[in-house]
Amino acid sequence: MSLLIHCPICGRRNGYEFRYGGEDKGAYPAGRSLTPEAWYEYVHANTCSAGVVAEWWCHRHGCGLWFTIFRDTRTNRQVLEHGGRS
Amino acid sequence: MKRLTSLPTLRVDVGRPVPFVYKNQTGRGFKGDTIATALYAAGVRIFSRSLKYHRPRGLFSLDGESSNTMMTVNGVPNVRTETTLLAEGAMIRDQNAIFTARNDLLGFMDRLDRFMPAGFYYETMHKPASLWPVAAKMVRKAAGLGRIAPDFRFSGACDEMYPAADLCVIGGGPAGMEAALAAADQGLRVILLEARPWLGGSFDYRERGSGEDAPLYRQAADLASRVSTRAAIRVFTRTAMVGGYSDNLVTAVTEGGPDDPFDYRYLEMRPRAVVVATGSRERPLIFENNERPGVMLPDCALRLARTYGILAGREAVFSVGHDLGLEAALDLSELGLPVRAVADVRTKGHDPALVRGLADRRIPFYPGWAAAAVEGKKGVKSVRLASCDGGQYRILTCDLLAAAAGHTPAVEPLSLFCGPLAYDGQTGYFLPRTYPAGVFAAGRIYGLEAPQNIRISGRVAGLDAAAFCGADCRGAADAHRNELAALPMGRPASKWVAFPGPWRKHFVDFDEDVTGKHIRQAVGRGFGVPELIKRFTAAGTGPGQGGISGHNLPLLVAAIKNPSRDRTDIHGTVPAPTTVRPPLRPVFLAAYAGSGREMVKRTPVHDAQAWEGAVFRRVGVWHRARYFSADLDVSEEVDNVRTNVGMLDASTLGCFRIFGPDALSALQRVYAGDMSKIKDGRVKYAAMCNHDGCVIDDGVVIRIGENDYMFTTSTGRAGETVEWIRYHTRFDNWDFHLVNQTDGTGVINLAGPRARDVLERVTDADVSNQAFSFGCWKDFSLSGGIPVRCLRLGFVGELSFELNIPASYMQAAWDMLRKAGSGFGLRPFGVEAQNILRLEKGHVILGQESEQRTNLLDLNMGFLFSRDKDIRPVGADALLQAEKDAGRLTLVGIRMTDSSCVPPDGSILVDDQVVDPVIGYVGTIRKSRALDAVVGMALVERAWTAEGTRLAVYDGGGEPSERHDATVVRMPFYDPEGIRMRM
Amino acid sequence: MDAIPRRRSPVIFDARPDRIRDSGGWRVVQKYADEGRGPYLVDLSHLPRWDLQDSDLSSHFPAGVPVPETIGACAITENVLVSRMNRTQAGIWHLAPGGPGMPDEPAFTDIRENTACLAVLGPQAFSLSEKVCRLDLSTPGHHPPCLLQGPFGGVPCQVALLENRSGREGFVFTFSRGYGRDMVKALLAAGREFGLRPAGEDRMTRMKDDFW
Repeated sequence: MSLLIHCPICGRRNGYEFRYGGEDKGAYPAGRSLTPEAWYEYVHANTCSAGVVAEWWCHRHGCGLWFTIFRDTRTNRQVLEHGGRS
Repeated sequence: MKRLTSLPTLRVDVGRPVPFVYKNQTGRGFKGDTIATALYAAGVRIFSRSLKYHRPRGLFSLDGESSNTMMTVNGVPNVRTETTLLAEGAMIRDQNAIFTARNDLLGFMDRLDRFMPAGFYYETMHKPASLWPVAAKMVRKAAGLGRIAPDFRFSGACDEMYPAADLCVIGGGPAGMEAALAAADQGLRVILLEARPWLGGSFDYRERGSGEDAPLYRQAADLASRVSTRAAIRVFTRTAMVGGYSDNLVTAVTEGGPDDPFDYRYLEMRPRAVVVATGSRERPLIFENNERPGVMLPDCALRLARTYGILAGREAVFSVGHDLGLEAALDLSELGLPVRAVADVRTKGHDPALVRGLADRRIPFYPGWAAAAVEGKKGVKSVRLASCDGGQYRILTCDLLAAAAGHTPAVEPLSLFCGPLAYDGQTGYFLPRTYPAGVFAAGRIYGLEAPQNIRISGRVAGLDAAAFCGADCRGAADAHRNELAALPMGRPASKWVAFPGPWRKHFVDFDEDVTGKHIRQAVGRGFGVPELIKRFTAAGTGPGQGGISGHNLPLLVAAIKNPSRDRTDIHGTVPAPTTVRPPLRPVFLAAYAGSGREMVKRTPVHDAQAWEGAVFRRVGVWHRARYFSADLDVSEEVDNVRTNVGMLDASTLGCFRIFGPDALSALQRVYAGDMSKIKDGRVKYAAMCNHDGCVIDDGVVIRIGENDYMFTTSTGRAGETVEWIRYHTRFDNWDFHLVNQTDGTGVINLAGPRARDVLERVTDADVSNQAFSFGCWKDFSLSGGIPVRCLRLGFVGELSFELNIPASYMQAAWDMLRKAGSGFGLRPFGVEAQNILRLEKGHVILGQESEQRTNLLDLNMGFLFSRDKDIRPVGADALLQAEKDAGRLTLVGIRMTDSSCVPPDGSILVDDQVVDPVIGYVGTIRKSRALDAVVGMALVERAWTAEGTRLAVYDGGGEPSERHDATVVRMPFYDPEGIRMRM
Repeated sequence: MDAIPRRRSPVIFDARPDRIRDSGGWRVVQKYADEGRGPYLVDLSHLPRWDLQDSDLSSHFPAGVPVPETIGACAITENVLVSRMNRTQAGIWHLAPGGPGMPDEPAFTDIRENTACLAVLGPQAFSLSEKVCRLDLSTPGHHPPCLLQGPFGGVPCQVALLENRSGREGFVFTFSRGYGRDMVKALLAAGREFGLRPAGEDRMTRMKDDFW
């Protein structure tokens, strides 16, 4: 309930204003030679690590921007990449 | 009772009586009274009966720490009368008693305690199961607090507020006020929350000061006036914090006063910094019958006198463990309360001035003594004081015992921010191990006692918070910190637990009737930590949420676990406190709901449809017209579309403009089909899939200009379509732009064989089949210049014109069409009729015929998937794999053999001949009047998809369950050649 | 053929109009009989609003002025407010009648029909806003006119802060048209304790003259 996200445009906002876009896994793997296994890995396999993860979020109730943040899943707080408080 | 009227600390206005009704008798309090103080002044001593044992309970504290004084007020059960202001004409009743709290016929329960050990419910309610309903009924009758009628409706007014601030100070005592002022001096916007109706905290009702300083109450008043006149400080009184969460999210509830437009106001704020200055309260003393009416905290007795002008008894004995207790005894004695003795568990470390004061007034003082028991059934008759070593005792008659073991910090708000607490051996307090960034504390919560120290610590916290928010004041903060360090610290709190014994009537928690014996039993059963014992015994789980038991429970457990030692102290076993969780106080759900407003979208012809008798339903964020008559079969609406002409408000469909150099690329990415093949003037039907190839949306796309397109989505998807497209193009750096025009685009679907006749009456444009054929779109005007974009589609299977009209013109267009159509039988139809009409045509509605796992191929819509686009669409990889998968379900049409049998939507299809008999399920199924048959669409396994296959629809609703015959038939059911929509 | 068809705002005020002007099908209330003494709730939904999107916003001059460079900043000229929403998007809202027409360029979209537009003006406007949203309108850190994007009254809004000096607070905001009626209901309920009342179009012009 108390997740606070820094939107690059709108600043500190309540987590409710955002939509979660999954872990940041980079661009979709290249088309033609894509194996079913690789496709599955990309779409469904998540690291779910207890620690700092990179994630996509969309400020859906604000500016609408998609952006990535680092979040410490142990504290549910946004952090700087190296783990400090943002 | 006559009140003390000349005290400068008084908070009641004795010139303004407030009448109330208690048990059919009229009483009188004064403005400023809480319900509890008014009742106490009127002579009420027994306020309620306890949950389990029906023991009489009275006023013990004044801040709602227990359920003792919960009563039913104006029909609302469980009102905390200690904190609820007395309102004119309040109707007050007791709770949980047969007859009255004073003469409770269930009072005998108290003698049955040996049959109700710790974990009684867990251990006895096992067998036989047939007894459960009976036992539960009896227990419910005997136990519990207030009763709520099933038809009870909360009648209070609630609203909400989200005030913005840099700093939130919790607690409006001297430390909190100093913190607020210090931070405001540094330019911060400050919010100050105070649960009581006034600021001042522990200074508000105390006369004494230290040395030559002004009396404490005057210091408090001075601070309060400075705080109240600062524009940068917003003060919320009667506002208790109820929740604290990470990143400084603070929630609180204000209880409305007579002049407020609300009864409860929910507050939520996200300050950059928080200062917790909630002070401390007295730790209840545990002894035999320690919760008899007539036993109360010394602070409660003092505040009754100083704040409300009420002397709590005729003759008092004090048993304390802290200087404030001594101060209370001395002060009350000076105010005229005869004090027969003062016991103090401490053998040394008392404030010598207070001890001298007691001696001057010839009050016997017993250092190293404590109350061991009180006598009296419904009130205190006498007290047994004993020396802590147990060697000596004395029995004193009195009607008031003011008892506390010492202090405990009101640390609950702080622990919500700071997480687990640790025992501080020096102060005997439970304090946070670490403080998160931006959270600070001040005042008595740290064990400070000297007024000077309390005030300086507030300044330190305020400046620390300001520095955290970026103000240049670290130096000032450090200066005050050093000043504080140089002053003498407070004395450690007493660690006294209880005299040894079985602790049968030694109450640790009042709300749940938990005694020391129960704790001992729980430890004996192997529950090693307070956290588990809390659950097994229910200590701290009642409305007071550990307000009484919070500190004593861990101390008791520590003492019990050290049997080899003297049981009166914890001796090195480190007590572990239980976890505090929000809400810190009981909060009405209505208060959390706040204003309870519902934000729903209405289409521009909402009223027009309402006038025609539309019954609306909520579809996503919208109100949509479901049907226009009481006829749930909507047969008239359906027939009218098939024979004459109907009009449907489809304004809720999503409508978007996409443009820019890479607009086509973006469309190619999200739509399965090839959007480069859209012909000018033609409508392209298209579907969006997710990565799994499952269909999430369908709609049409048209090209309206160079790199400029319009597309529609289903009602439910409109809100997230922009997000979806941006998400799936986020790595591409494409240059395109989206505009959501859903709300601005009113849509009227004019459908039926006479649709053209109606349309021709309101436009000069050529809408003949030659000039404007099926699958095309066209811009023209209606009479008076209303611009429309018209699409010829056939969702309901008849000649249809889908008129896209600017929202502001919708009402005018609707009225114009209604008038023009009056000679052709035009009438509106709703989504229920549309559902049947499109079903007859075999058109799917996503979410009805499909679910999360249904992909494009399963719906026989593979034609919408283009395998060889340059830009691989979302879902393509999954669809290419799914093409090779024979184990998927496929959409088929079915017809019931018995045309009077309409199974419910979602019924499963079974074949008893196979191992796994469930072979599919029905999406939508309806009686079709046009076909004179019951038809539906179903997803079935491949082996059962051939035309003519017999299926059984399982109907679990009947008894015994039944199977109804059905056959797989070809779709569309109605007008298979599609002649009618191409007319 | 017929008379000019009526155009309707999504917002209906239950108040007695005192002065009305007719304009291209709109019946605009310029003044209500009893507007109280503020704060005022003004419906501006009938005035033009445009959306401007381009990867290069600097090439456009809506209402004759450049789009502000800083995201969140606004410019006001000739009764038209130009707000910078993000890197590629600007909102252009007319706050009074008689403004310029929309440039005939594909980068512009007429969004008047898509949104409702309301203004809250006068004393205690922020006391009202803090009851319906978590947006911090009152912080001295804002330099009006400026734009905030976020939930207001529970639905996504674009809020342009016009003035934040105590006693002459004002903001104007837009949101999905369909919410018009519930939004007004919510605001009037929340604003009852401050005396919030519907006011006519002229109130905006008058306040505007005060502001700038």
